[in-house]
Amino acid sequence: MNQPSEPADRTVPDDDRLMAWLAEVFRMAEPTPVEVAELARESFLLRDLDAQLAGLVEDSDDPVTAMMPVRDLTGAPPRRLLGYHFLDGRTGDQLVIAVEVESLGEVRRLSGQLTPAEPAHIEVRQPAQVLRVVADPLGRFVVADVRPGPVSMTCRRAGAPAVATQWTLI
Amino acid sequence: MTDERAAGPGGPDDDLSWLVRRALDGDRTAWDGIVGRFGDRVWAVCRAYRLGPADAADVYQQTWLRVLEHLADLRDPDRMGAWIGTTCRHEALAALRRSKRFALVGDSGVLDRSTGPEDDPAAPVLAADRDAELWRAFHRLSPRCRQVLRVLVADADQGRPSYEMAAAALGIPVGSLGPTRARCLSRLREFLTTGIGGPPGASSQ
Repeated sequence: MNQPSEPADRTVPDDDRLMAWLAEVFRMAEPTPVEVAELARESFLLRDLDAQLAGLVEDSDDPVTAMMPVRDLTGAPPRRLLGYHFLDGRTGDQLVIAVEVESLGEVRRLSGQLTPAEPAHIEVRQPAQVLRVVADPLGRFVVADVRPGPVSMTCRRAGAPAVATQWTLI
Repeated sequence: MTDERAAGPGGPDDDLSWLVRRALDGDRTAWDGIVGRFGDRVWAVCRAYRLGPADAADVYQQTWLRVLEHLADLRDPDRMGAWIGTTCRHEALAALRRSKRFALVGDSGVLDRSTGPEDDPAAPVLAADRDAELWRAFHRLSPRCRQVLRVLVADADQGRPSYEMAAAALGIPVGSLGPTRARCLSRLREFLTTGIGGPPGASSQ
């Protein structure tokens, strides 16, 4: 074949050129939306520099980690149970954050419980908004009007390091 | 979106390690460079799993937030590619479960089965007839082949392919990427040749 980049009418290119042609067609037909790339770049502003990470260790949505599937037999709004765990191996400081996520149409409502139970300031970070609530002396908190999408909660306890939950898509 | 060039030896691996170090130091431009390196591929994975537009945008952003969260552990370019691919796949599958729509994935038995004309979406405005033919031929492939090629196509577009990322995003071993790609391209070539209407055996291979 002596065609540089385009196949002749009745022949088809080899694998590499077929892929290159396909890539070009997809670039024309399905380019990455500009605003989407912007979402990725702006994520940089959402990082929490002073908080330790509490990993997601249980998710009722995840067939692998779910310990208790949530069966909805009553017609109540769908609920999802999330469990985050932070452990400082050096000091033994431990924090478990359990969160129940209720979906009410386009809004999410989070009900949280800190263990050990203690009060804390909770900062609920999302790309489009930050909400602030307080966990009561029993470690309970409720956040209404949370949007669908990524969320991370930073818990600030008195005299203890800030702990932020792993980003979770709700 | 441009890549920052390393002050050091300047190979692609050094670039990425350098970008990660700078981003960890708070350099926003370095982060843009990392996004530039993998952004299109992450979007291709979201599209390959056939997420709706809102879900795709959410999974895309969630993937990048997780990368940022995990950045200190991702200095090795191979690790980063694989980790991004795995994370994006995990989030995409979770999004699909939540939306109760399951794409046909992961079954090598469907690799060679083609889909019917009812699966063929309206071709976007592609000026050249041949490009439109390729688009149609692509959509006659099995869902699995479409998924594999959709991810690999974004990889082909980059200066430095990341087979680790493509394999992780598809949930297959790196070693089977080559044969899978070849099988799917062979099918695509069959559909293309049939579509053009030329005599069989007129291909250059």
